[in-house]
Amino acid sequence: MAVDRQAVLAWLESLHRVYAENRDFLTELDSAIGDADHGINMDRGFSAVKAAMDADAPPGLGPVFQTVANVLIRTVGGAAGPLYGTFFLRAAAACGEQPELTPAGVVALFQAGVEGVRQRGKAEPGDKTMLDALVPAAAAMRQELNGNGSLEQILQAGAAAAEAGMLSTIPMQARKGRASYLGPRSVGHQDPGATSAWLLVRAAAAAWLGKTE
Amino acid sequence: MIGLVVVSHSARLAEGVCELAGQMAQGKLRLAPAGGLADGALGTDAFRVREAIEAVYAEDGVLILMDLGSAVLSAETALELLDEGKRSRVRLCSAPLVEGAVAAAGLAAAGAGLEEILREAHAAHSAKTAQLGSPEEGPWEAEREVAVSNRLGLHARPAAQLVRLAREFAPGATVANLTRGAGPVPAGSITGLLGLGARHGDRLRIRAADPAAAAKLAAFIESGCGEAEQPPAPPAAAVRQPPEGHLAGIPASEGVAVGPLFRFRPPAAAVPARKAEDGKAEWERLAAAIRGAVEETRTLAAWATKNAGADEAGIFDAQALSLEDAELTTAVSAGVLQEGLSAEQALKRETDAFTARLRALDDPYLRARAADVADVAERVLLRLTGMSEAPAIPGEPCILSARDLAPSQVRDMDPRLVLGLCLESGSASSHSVILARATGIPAVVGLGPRLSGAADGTTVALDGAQGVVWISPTPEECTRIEERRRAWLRARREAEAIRDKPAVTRDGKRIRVVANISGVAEAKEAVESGAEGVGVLRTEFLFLGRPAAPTEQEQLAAYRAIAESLQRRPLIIRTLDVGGDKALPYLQAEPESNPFLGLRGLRLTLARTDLFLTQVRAILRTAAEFPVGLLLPMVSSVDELRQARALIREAGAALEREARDYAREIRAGVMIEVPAAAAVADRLAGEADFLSIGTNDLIQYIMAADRTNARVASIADPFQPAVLRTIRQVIEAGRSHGIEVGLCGELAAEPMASPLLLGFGLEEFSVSAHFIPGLKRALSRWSMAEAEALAREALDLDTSTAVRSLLADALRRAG
Repeated sequence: MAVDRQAVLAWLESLHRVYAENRDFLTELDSAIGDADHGINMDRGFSAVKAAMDADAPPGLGPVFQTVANVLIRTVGGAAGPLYGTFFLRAAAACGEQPELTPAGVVALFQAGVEGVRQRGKAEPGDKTMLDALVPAAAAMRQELNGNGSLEQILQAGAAAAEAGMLSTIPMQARKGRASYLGPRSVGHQDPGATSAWLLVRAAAAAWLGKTE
Repeated sequence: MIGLVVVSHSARLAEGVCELAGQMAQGKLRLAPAGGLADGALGTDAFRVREAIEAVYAEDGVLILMDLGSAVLSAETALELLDEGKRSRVRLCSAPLVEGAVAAAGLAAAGAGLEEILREAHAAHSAKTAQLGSPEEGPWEAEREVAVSNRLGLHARPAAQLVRLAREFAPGATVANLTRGAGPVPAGSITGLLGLGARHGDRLRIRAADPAAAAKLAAFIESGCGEAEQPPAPPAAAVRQPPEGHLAGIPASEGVAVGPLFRFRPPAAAVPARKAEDGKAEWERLAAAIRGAVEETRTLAAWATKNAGADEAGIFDAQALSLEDAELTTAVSAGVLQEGLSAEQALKRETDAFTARLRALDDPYLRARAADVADVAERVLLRLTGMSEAPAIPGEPCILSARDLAPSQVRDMDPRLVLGLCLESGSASSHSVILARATGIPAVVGLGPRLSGAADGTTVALDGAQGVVWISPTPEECTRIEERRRAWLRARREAEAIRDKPAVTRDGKRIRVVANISGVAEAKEAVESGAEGVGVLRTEFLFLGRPAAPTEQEQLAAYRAIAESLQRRPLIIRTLDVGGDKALPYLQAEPESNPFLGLRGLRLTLARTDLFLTQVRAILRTAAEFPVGLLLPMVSSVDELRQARALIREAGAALEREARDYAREIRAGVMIEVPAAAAVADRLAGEADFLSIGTNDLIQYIMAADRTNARVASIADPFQPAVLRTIRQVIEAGRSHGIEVGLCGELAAEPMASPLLLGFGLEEFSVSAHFIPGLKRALSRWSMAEAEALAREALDLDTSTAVRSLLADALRRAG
């Protein structure tokens, strides 16, 4: 089983829906420990992505991801723009000229994207950021792949790890970003970045396993 | 020549900086602003940055200056968007935006190369720091090494100072102990810093994103972290020494005592081995306890600064910081939110682990700090568990000292063994102190930590009426104190002798003296003490500490047993009086930020009519056989009384249908304990059968001061004119409607208040059983004429101090 351009476009389509649906939820999370714009920013970015894809989706996986990155960088505003933009830039590079992704290709895409976010944000798991969801997700996917897991197992492991990682941010005290100004008051709140990251991974699993979000 | 790009959230700022920098280069430099988003909004866009780079690109290279936050991320992203060939010729500069841009432009115009400009631009704000002063010197490195200069190492107080500095200037800084291979730990973490075990002479490495901050931290450590003078003595001398002579505290419970000191060290608070059902709620509970303990510790620190010196205060300061420590809170909250541990378990596990780390260190001073951490953790635990353990009192008579005691702990004390109490915190009107008075144990409170260093067995004397404590009194002092003790004991015996006689003023007016009780045992005690009845039966004891509300049958059995032991004396049963601060699992109360102003007392039972109807049924059935009245707590409007009356009728109607024995008529009274009820006392008196003034809460609500908060407790003085006027007004309202008015706060037991309350026309005093003999004796001293004159005079005064001194004089004259 492989992920082709059509599946990638379906993922992006579902991300637009997911972030629109979770716009208020993410903003509410962000209002507790940030500047209350994460949901609005993500929704704006992925609405623009959808518009770009509807207008003129490029051929090939790499160009599609490159366009997503460009749109996000231009439209999200705030730190999520360069961070998710970098995720898709690296994803584009990881895809290269491949017409479709094997399970190994999917894992490589996520690993490259996550590594990009890590480098861009100079953050590590435990800092209460999107990396708390992304790093475990990429690691879990790699592990499933190494154990000869199917694409389904890989994606499900990734989504589960992202969810657990997202929940692990609740007791954390933030060390990066605006929430870090809050010190101990950031404890007890789920990180909005980790939450949008989990939505990203979960949407991929749903879209590529043929389930609707 | 290089090109220069200026990145900012604001397009106008980027353009302005370019303008300034361009002037330096006199038009020779290629400059490009990259500010704002395409639609003019504030923000940064990596593509704009890339376009700006492309616009000024030269083979000599491009330097990028940024403002902050996402500008940095976008500039980095822009590099990634560039051709690889060009990318290697672009540098991001961390210099301050304006200084860096101006310096770079000047250097570029002078023909400097990219790397040289990058280096020099970094140093660009040195002109400003030279002008304005900075501890900074030498190369701009974000890493520093220093030796610990403090003789006792980086112990709690200097570490606390360092934490403050780090939090202010260098949130991201870390410190490692190179000598011992410990760390790095966040410089803003007190537990981390103490865990480094840094001793005198150890080499520390400081790392910070900002070189100036690293230098500042290093300089601070080198200077001894604010400890200008090194303590000359070895660690043992750092142990707190008790001061000589006598200490002044708050007078709390009358009486004189002398004996060997016994310091009550609370047993490790019970840690319930339960799982938390709702992690979020459990964390909220823990966070509230931590906030409370931090506040308490800060109060102690402020107190210590004033009264005990900076050394003592530094310890409390460090304790408060350990509670706010990021590493600790993260670990503890993970236990609660993820492993489902109870707040107590999670806190205990993590603080135990931390104290174990401290105890494992080489340095004896730091090892001793483990006790401070355990101490402050205990402070949180006690808030969580409610200080329930009874102190293990030695078998010999002693003077007990403690930080604070729970009412339950005082209640169980034998006055023959606990001769006196010395408490560090608290106020004269906390429940524990009320109980100490009731039990006849002299007490002085609000002493602060001054007694905590005195060894067990040290002779200590106290005078609870004056609030004085003597440590190791001289033989002459001892003689005088013993004499006063004998006089006090004599007066007590006399009071007991008149116990069973009715209370009568000197001119023959009968006054009812009744008891406040909460259980069968206290009912018996009330009878033994000479109570003419019970003014308030607090029923909360039936409801607390159980998973479900008591059934009608259970309540009926309890009320009957109490009524029976009163032998036909009248019994007033107060309906449930709890609020959001009490954890009754079956109430499922929403957490309230201010339970004191929340859903409590009658408000709560009107919202939970199931509880109210069950209780009223049990009371009505008891009233069929015994002289029983019903009292409604926390009433604030006539409307609430009417609602309660309607429910009482409903309960009666149901009992009628079921053909049970019940009282068809029951006396229903209203507690006057909020200012609103006092203000409409005349209206309430028109509909209620009697009024009962609950001064404990009423005073706090009138004065808006918490009597358990030592800092405002003195405001909550019952002799405040505002309080006295209110009390008189309520008594008047009752009298003009021909209904009885009682007073059931602790004020009723205060000897100084007796003539005042008599003068206001109060005819029923309701007090703890122990007070009854003394109260009867106090009432018998006065004639109504004297009391009324005194009351008039007191109402004319402006301050509680003046009222107190008027009453004290009168009391002296009355003998």
